Amino acid sequence: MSKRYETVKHLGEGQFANVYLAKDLESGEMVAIKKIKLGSREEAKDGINRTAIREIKLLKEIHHENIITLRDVIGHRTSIQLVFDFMDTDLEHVVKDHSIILSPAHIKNITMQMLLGLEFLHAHWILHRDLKPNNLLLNNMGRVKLTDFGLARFFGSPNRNYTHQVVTRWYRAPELLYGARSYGVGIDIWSVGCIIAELLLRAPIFPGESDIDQLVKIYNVLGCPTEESWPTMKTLNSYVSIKPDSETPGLNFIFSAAPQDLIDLLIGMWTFDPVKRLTCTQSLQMDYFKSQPYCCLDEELPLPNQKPPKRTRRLEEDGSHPARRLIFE
Amino acid sequence: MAEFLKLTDWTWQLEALKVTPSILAGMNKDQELLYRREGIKLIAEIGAALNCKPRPTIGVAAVYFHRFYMEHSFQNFNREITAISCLFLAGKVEDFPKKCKDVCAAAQAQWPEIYGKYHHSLVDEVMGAERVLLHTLKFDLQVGLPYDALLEYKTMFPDMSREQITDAVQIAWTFINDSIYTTLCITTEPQMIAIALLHLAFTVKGYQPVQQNMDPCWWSADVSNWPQESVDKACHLVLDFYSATKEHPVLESRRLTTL
Repeated sequence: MSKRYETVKHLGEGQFANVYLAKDLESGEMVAIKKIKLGSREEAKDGINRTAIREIKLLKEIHHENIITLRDVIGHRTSIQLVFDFMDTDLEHVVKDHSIILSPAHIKNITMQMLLGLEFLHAHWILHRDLKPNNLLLNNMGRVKLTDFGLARFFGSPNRNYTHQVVTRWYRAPELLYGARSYGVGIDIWSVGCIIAELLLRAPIFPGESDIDQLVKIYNVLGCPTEESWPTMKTLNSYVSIKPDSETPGLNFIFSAAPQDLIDLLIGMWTFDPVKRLTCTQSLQMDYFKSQPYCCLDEELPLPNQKPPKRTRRLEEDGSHPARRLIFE
Repeated sequence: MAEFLKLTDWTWQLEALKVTPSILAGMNKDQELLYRREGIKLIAEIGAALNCKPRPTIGVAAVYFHRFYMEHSFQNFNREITAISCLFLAGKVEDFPKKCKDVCAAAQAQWPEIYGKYHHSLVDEVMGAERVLLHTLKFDLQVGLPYDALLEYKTMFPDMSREQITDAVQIAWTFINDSIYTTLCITTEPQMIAIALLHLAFTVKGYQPVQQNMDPCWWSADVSNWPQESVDKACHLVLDFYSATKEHPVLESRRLTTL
């Protein structure tokens, strides 16, 4: 680590990186440091990892309060480290912590913050391509931020084909499951719909076990797309015809407690034809955001309260500010 | 590099070119410009051999190269290695990645007189240089190129015939391709480069773009206080490159020049 940052503890390990909690000795703030793995000897023959390159390139360009801030990049002889704001938790932890009650006003707030961050990305021609609860961070000021831009990329170059192997399966839009290689903002919106559903149900709505099973899970809830509802469906690379179980129960049945304006929002985000699917801006203009209960205040958002005791102790030993005091711009 | 000569994070006043790290280390200005051209020539030719296009990979690599030598001297960092590492990094950034060993193999096949001496150590040299490069660039990897602005101007002259404007844009496109050999990208924003070189294309072809709203120049609506003489200066930089290389094409001898 660089002299400016003092490692406090290891927070987690991902495919391409290890993440550490550290203290910025210049500002006294806590930060998260993502240390990019160099990979095997063979991979290391191609220098700095492309995932890291993508993330650095995009995050250096974009600054928004609902998108994680890349505060610093440290290049060492042997490693690359990205310094981010420290965030207390993520939506996956919130969803799984059953001591937390998410009220309609909480969910509306989280949805709005997600959409504002995503709207900004899309306005800058960037697709996130990997939205899931785990990639939506939450701090103790109630600020939601999109993170993990390792798969994100600029879109809009008409001649480029993209891989369809993006987005964790449960949050993947049907066009991706059918192998679409040119796609747009719709894939991110589909994921947002799945995340809202997960906040309501406290479990993933479409937990497919394979790509085909993923489609079946989707169609069992939404019914099958038709020629009329999605004309270009059959032109996609790996199109297969799928028969759903039986009658679909309908969203009103699944989300029995949700108001109609929220159901309408989900229907718009889960429109099969990507061309007709809601955009972020359209989503933000839906009646859902104009009706009561309105969004709660950010600071009213609940956080998982069982913090690992080790972290608290360590912070106090340091005499440093608890993470609670982090200041966001 | 003198901070006070900076216009933005990555553009400098013209004076900065008189006090570059290489000049401060004892090189003269013409020599430095020649060294820059040679480095860019390597980027362009090795890039072409790898099927990279001027837009974006070669263009971005060239910008990296010019920026690098505003922070470091040619005496300390040899240009043949920097050139490859710029190309290698630009490929990754622009999503046209090439394997490091493929880039190095292409370099050695194209320029055996220059890269032959490195044998198998070239890959390691380039990877080492990539780290220095990333640091020097402060990880600002996203680079705008003049092409996008140029294409926008294509629709801004409703009074010109389709053939004329297409013709002018094509010529300007070539000027932009060639401008990477000059220091234009470190003194001038991409949009201004597009304006200057489209103006040059109009001039070369004798086209008179009709001016709207009585503006003094057609670009006034976009860049209001950019005087004609600065535009001319930018054009001359590219024209100077053509005249400097007419008699002696860059790397004609297939070897790098030495001080």
